[in-house]
Amino acid sequence: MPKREYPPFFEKAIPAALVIIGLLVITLLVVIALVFLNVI
Amino acid sequence: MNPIALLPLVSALVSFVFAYFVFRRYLVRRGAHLLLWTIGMLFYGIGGFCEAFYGLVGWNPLIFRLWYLFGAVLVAAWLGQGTVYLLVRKRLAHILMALLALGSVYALMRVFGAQLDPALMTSSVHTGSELSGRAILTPGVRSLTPFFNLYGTIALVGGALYSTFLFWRKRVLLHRTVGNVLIAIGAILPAFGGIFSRIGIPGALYLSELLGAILLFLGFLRATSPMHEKNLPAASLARGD
Repeated sequence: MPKREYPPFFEKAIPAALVIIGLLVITLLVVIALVFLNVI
Repeated sequence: MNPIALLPLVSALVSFVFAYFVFRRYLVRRGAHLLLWTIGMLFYGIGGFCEAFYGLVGWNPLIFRLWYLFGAVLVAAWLGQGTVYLLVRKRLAHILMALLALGSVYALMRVFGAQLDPALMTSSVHTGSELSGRAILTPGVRSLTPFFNLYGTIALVGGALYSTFLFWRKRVLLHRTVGNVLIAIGAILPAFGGIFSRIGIPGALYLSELLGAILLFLGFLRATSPMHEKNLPAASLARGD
C-alpha cells in the first residue's frame, strides 16, 4: 500500500511552518524573560 | 479622530463575527472548547472595542479597566483554556479551568481596584496614541499579565502546533493541519505586537491584533471545513488523500 502523502506544496510547507513557528515561540519566550528581568 | 483607532475597530468586528461562528458551532456540537473559544473571542472583541473607543473618543477609566482586564490579561488565557480542553484529560482541564476562573476573579478585583494615571501612557517610547498598561499606578497589577499570557499563548500556540504535528505525521485531515498552522500564527502575532509596542513601534500592537484575529478566524474556518476532492490537486488524489 503506498504511503499517504499530502499534496507536494504542503509536504514541504507544513514542516517548514512548524519549524519557523517553533523558533518564533522560543524567541518570544526569551524576549518575555528578558522583559521580566528588566534587561529590555 | 486618531486613524490608528480604525485597526482595533476592525479587530473587534472580526472578533465578534468569529465568536458568533464558534458559538453557532457550539450550539450544534457542544464541547467546552467551543464555548471557551467563544468567550475568548468575545474578550478579544471587547479589547478591540476599548482600544477603538480610546482612539475615537478619548480617555475613560472604565473603558481602560475593561480593556486591561479582557484585552490585556484574560483573552489569551481563555482561548488557550479552550485548547487545553481539547488536548488534555477532562479532570486536568477542569482543575486548570478552576484555577483560571479564580485567577480571573482576582485579576478583575485588582484591575478595578487599581489607581490610574493616563498621563503615564505618554513616555519616551509611547506617544499615548495607544492604550498602555503604563497608566496603572498600583504595584502588582501589571505583573499579573505575563502569567495569564504565557499560559494562554503556550496552550493556544503549543496546542495548535501539536495538533498540526499529529495530523502531518499521519498525513490525515489536511484542512485541520492547515487550519492549525493559521491558528498558531494568529495566536503568536499579538504576543509579538505587545513586545514591539513595548519597544515603541507605533501601531504594532493594534496591527498585530487585527492580523491575529483574521488569521485565527481563517484558521478556524479552514480547520472546520474539510477539503473536497475537487479542491485537491490531481497528484494528491492519485495517492488517495
